[in-house]
Amino acid sequence: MDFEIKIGLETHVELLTDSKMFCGCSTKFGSPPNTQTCPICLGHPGTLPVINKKAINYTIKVALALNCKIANFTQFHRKNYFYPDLPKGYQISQYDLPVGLNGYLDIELDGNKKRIRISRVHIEEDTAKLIHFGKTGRISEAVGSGLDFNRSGIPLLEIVSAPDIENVEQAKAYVVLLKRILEYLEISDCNMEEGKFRIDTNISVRKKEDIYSKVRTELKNLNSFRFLEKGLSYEIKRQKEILSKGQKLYMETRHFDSETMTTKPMRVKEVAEDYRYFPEPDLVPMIIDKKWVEEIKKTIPELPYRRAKRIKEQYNLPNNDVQIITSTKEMADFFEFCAKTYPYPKKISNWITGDMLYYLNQEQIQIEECKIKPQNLVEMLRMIDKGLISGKIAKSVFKDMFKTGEMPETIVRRKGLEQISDVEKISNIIDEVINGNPDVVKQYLSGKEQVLAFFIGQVMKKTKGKANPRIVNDILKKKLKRMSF
Amino acid sequence: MEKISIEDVKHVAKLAELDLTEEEINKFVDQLNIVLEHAGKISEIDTSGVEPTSHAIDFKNVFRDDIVKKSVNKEDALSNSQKIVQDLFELPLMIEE
Ligand SMILES: [Zn+2]
Repeated sequence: MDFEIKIGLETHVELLTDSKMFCGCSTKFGSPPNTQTCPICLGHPGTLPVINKKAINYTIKVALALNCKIANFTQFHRKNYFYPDLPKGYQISQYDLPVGLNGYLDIELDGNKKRIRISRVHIEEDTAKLIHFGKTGRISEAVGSGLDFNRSGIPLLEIVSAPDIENVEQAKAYVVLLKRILEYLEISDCNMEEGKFRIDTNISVRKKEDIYSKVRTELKNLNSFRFLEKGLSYEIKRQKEILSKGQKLYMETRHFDSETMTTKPMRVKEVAEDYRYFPEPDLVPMIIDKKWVEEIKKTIPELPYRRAKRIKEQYNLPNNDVQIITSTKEMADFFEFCAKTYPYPKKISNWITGDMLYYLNQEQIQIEECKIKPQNLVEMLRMIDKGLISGKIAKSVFKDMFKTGEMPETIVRRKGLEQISDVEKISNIIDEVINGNPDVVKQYLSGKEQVLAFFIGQVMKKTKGKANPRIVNDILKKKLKRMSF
Repeated sequence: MEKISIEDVKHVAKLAELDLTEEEINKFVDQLNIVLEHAGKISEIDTSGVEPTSHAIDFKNVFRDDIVKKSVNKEDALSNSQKIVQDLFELPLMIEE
């Protein structure tokens, strides 16, 4: 049976403003419950919201980066519904006049480009946080629940894609790229564990011939990339199975259960979806003129796709290197900072994509959190170039730098790791090795040239790896050659 | 002009989480129809050439800067809660079995 799959993603992103959307309470994460509230964000009657301009600036910034048209006239609406996390009985959101409309995001999968349309980018307020007590902290097993209003009123961006996504891989590529762009824009830290970047999906599977079917399932609670993948895969499989049996699908909202890696229908009492939007009378409309848009445009940095393209061309690096280097803005900044003061970009890239990445992964930290700064790496590369340390020693110097953040000279001096390039010194050590191993010399002289490696190994052992390998090789060969006469 | 029916009132009452008696429903059907009729009179006015507006005052772009102000203290914030649990507003059980 042939199926057609359509997936639309709705992404909610908490903005990195200092204060909330409509009041001056702090947005700081992790404070004790109900310590960042006021009558406005507690939803007391008679209070008046005032719009945080930075949140509007950020919304315009994101809408522009996602190729949206910016509304000249935009305003807030009330979305009316009852839920415990929404004390006013309505959420201040946007309806038919959002800040951004009709944009797109181009994703790339195995070298193929695919355009995902962005229907809208709008701004609203986040709700309070529900905390469930019980064995698992999940609503289905809760023995009680409480509300923390610190989150209530934090500026929340909603980015809605058209149902252009056809499979799990595309969905993942879209979310990864979207998150990366938002990080580049520095409008949110997109921390998924802290719920600052949340994904809801709409999935519709239908038989190819069943062109009128509009049934779709909403799937919530996909709070990591892994859950997004697992949840979508499960839901697509489930819907295909039902259709294959000749049964019907129903419109419903399902919840991803990370324990069983399956989806379940929501057991919370269903509220009819009739939000009775109307213009928020407490907030006057906004006019976003050309001048304002131009000002925001200037604040948009080079975005990931363009930066990757430029870095590839400007520094002549292979695709794989470019991909790793531009995976975060900070890593790309690190690379380019080094490249400004050091002329061999491939050598920089080798260290970043090699040892650096290895230790970052091992420590589970980001490049900006690590102690090695661009100057450390550049200095180390220069020392290698000058023959002051060998490549092998550099690896141990790098490891130390990663731990302590010390400059490479300091480490080399402290540990006595300077490379030995003194010909006489090396020559003496080689004599010792040759004299100490007459049997191996005989083997070499009888034509077994591979034992050369044994001699080199012995010299390195005696010098603790500090002898300049090129010089060792040269002298060793000369001496052995002389003996064969 | 369309009229408000008993079903409309029941629907709106449900959205507003109101339990209405039959008597109240009938009363609201009549009252709401009078309001609607009055609004219908306004729509008789010729508004061609008038831009739609959602606000009575002609203000635009009223903003505040992104500056943190002092919040109220936790005790005051929680003082309107009937029950408090671990510094949270305690809720009735949310699941309908
Ligand atoms: Zn507040």
